[in-house]
Amino acid sequence: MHETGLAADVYRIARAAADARGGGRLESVTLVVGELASVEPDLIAYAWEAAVGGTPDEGTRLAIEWRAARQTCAACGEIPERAAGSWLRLCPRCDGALAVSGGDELDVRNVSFLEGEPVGDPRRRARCASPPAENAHAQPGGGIPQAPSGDQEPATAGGSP
Amino acid sequence: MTDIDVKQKVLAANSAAAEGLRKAFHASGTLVVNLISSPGSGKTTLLEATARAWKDRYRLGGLDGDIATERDAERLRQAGIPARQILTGGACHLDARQVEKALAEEGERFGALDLLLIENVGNLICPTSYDLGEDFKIALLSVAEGDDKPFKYPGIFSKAAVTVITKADLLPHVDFDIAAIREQIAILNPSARFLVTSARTGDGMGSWFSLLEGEIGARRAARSLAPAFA
Repeated sequence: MHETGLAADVYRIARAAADARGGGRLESVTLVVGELASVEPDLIAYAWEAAVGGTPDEGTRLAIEWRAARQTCAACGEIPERAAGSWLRLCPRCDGALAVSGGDELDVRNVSFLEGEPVGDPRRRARCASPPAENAHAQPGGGIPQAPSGDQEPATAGGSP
Repeated sequence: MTDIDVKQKVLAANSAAAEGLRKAFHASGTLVVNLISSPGSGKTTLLEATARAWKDRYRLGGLDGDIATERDAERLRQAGIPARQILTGGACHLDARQVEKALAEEGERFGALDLLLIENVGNLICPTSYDLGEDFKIALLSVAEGDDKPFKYPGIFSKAAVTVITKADLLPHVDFDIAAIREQIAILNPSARFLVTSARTGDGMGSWFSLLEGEIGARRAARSLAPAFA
């Protein structure tokens, strides 16, 4: 379950990026996840909730931008479809071997934050914070007070193929 | 609200540590291999056999990743080489920063090495994503695990430069089609090398030793061509 450690790293990177601009509370973070990065979108979304839970950034939305790998068959050309239920590296049209490239991305692409007081080092704060109440993240408006903004979606992730 | 482009790799800190390690390994002429497989496939047994055979011939060191117990490092020490256990406390893989710390603490006891054997946490998935500064990854697959594993775990079998089939002495007792494995590996990673071994009987171990010996020689030769700063 390495998504837990990755989510903490994503939070650290996002918080540092906002802090460097003197920013306040995070609104949303966009994470690019390649198909071959061994990161499961649902699991990283759950891990993200745990990573920001109990911090001033609780409720920050994690948006997943999914990047497919490129599969090419020597006989059939580029193959956009996937073999059912798995990743067999065999062409679903002719059973030939597929050449696979790309799809290993795991990048924090974009961070949105509110103007305001910097909130400081997330690691230090997270250690002091009490664990979040169960389902706190699922209640819009729950957790810490949010400044008005155009984007009030609860923490979520999507975009799996 | 402010919106900024970050474009930062999540694994950047691990990758930076791995690059630092790689530079240090190249400077000291040390070959480093990262062994990845499921638990119980025979990583430690293969390394024990290697340690016993080579402890007086090459300067060997071992790092053993596990979530609990000192067993593996103790087995390598019993086999005659310095070894350090890295306990991950639940994490499913080794991180380059853990390797860095372990080597910093073991520096004197390990000394200059010809070959550093890193045994990752038993797991076919997560360790694949973490560069440890190694020259190459080695995937192990025991014949008891089934002959469909390369396609089920394509990440590791496409990244490993070498796949070692282990426990080949059990072949008469299990349904394991070596040709099927060869075929899957050839699709995932056409340049991968493929060995069939039994550390228990010694069958196939010659190919394991000669592969490593060739790589140790290449690493030393590369060092002798490089400026001497180590």
